[in-house]
Amino acid sequence: MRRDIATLVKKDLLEFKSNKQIWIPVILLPLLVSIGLPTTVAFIPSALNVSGVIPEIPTGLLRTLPEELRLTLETLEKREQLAFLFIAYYFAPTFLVIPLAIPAVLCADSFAGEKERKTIEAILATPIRDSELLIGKTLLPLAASLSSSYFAFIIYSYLTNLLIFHRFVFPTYSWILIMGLLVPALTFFSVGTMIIISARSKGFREAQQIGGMIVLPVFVLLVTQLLGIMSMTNLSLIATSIILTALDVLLLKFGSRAYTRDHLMSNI
Amino acid sequence: MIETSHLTRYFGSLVAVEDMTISVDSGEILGLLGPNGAGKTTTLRLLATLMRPTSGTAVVDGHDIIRDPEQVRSIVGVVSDNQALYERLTIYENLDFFGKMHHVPEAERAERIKGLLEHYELWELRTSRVGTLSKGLGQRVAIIRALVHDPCVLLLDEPTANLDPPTALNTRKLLDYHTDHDGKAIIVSTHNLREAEKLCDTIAVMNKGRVVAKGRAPELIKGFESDQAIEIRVKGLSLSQMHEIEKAMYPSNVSFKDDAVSITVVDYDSRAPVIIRKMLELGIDILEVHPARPEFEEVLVKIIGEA
Repeated sequence: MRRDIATLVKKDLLEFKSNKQIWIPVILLPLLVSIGLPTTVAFIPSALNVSGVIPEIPTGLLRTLPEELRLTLETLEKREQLAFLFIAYYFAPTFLVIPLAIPAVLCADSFAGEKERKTIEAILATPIRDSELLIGKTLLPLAASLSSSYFAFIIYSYLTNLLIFHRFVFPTYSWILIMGLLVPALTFFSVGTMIIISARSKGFREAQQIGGMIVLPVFVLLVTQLLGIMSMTNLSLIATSIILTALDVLLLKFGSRAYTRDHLMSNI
Repeated sequence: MIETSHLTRYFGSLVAVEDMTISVDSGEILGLLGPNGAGKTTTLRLLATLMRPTSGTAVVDGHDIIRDPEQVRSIVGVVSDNQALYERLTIYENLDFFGKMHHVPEAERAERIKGLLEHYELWELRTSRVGTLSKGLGQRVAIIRALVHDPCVLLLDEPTANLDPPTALNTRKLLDYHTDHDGKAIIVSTHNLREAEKLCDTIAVMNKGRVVAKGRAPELIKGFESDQAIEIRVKGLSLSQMHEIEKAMYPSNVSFKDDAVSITVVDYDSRAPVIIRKMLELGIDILEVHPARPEFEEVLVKIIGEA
C-alpha cells in the first residue's frame, strides 16, 4: 500500500518539476510574502525619508485591537509599534494566502489535470485502491503547502527580527497559534475543497478558476481587520481552527466519496 | 479467459450495457463493433474494473470483477481511446511508473521495459518526452504500457483510431503477435469494419448497450446472404442463349451486361452449382464466377437496423 502511494508521489513530483506553471507560483508566493512584507516595513520609512518622524498608532485604532496585542505593543518602543502592528497583525491574513493558494494550484493539476489529460484512467487501471489513490494524490499538495508555509514563516520571522527590531521579538503567541493550528487546518481545507471541485470540474483551468476563490475569505478578513470590524484574538484563532478542522473532516469525507473509480470514470 | 454474465450498467436511467453475456478464450481477439454510444467503451471499463456493474458480473482468468477487482487489474492491460500518457515524462519514466504501479519487481521491470521497447523499435527514443512523439509512436508506447506487467488480457479501446494506415497496420500486426505468441485474450472496440474483419477472430455487434449479433465476420455476412447475386463472366452470348438462361433461372432475376451475366438468387450455396451446371449444359464457356457477397458494412447496418 505504502509503496503505491510513494510511487504516485514521486511521479507527481517529477511532473511538477517539469511544469513551470506549477512550481513557479509555489516558490514565488512564499518568497514574496516572507521576504517582501518585512523588507517593505523595514525600508519604507528610510525610503520615504521619514526616519526622523515617529509614527504613532491612533488611539481609536488601538482600542479595536485584541488585548494580547495591545499588551505586547506596550512593551515595545514607540518607533517600533506601528511596524509591529503590521508585521504581527495586519499581515497575518496575507500570510494565510500561502496554505490556501498552494494546495489550490497543486490539487487543480493533480486531480483535475489528470482527469483532463485522461491519464487518470491509466492509473485507475492499476491495482491501486481508491483510498490509496486519494492519499497519494493529496500528500504532495499537503507537504508542499505546509513546508512552504513553515519555510516562509521562518524567513518572515528571521527578517522581521533582523531588519526591523534588531532583536528577538517575533513570533508572538498568536503567530504560534496561526502556524500550529490555523495553517494546517487551512491547508486541509484547501485540499478538501479542491478534491471536490476537481471531481466536478472538466479540467485544470476550470478547477483552478473556481479554486482561486478559496482565498477570498482571507481578503474579507484583511478588510474587516483593517476596518476594525473583526479582531484576530487568540481565542478566535483557536475557535476558527477547531471549526475549520471539523469542516476539514467533512470535506475529506465528501471528497473521498467523489474520488472513487466509478465516480471519476462516470465523469470523464 | 473472460466470461461475462448478464453484465449490465446504467447511468441513471440511461442504459450503457445491458445483459451482456460473452466469452473470450486465450489467444482469441474479440472485436466490439457498433455505433457511438453502443456501450463498447463502458464494456471495456467494466471488465477493467474501472466501473462497477449495476447488475451481472464477469470473470477474468478466474477472478470476479466485483469481488476481486485488484486481482483483475493486475492481470489486465488497458489501452484507452486516448493514449493516457504523461507528456512531460520520458517514455522510460512513463513505463517505469506504470510497471511500479503494477508491482513488477525492479530487475524484471527494467528487463521487460527494455525488451518491449526493443520489440516495438522504441529503445533509442526511451529518453524522449512523450509529448514530443507522433501519434503513432505514442500509441505504441500506450500499448507497451498496457503490456509492461505481462497481463494475460488486453482491453483496447479503438487502438488504431486517428492513426495513418501504415501505423494502423503495424499496430494490428503487433496485436496479432501478442495473441499468437503470448496467448493473450484481447478485446478490441473499434469503428473500423475492415479492422474488425481482418484482426478479430470473433465480432460482437453492439447497439444501445446490447450485443445484437456475434460470430466470425464471414458467419455474420452469411446470415444476410439470403438474397444474393452471382456474377458469371462468359465468352460471348447469343440471343438464344440469353433466352435459355432466363428460362432456366426463373424465378431468379437475371441481367446481362457485356460479357457478364448477373443472377440474383435465393440460397446462394445450393443454387450457385445448379446455375453453373445449367450454363455448361447450354454450351456456354464460363470464364469467371463471382459470388457477389454483400459488404460487411452493409451487413452491419442491417444488423443494427434490425435490432
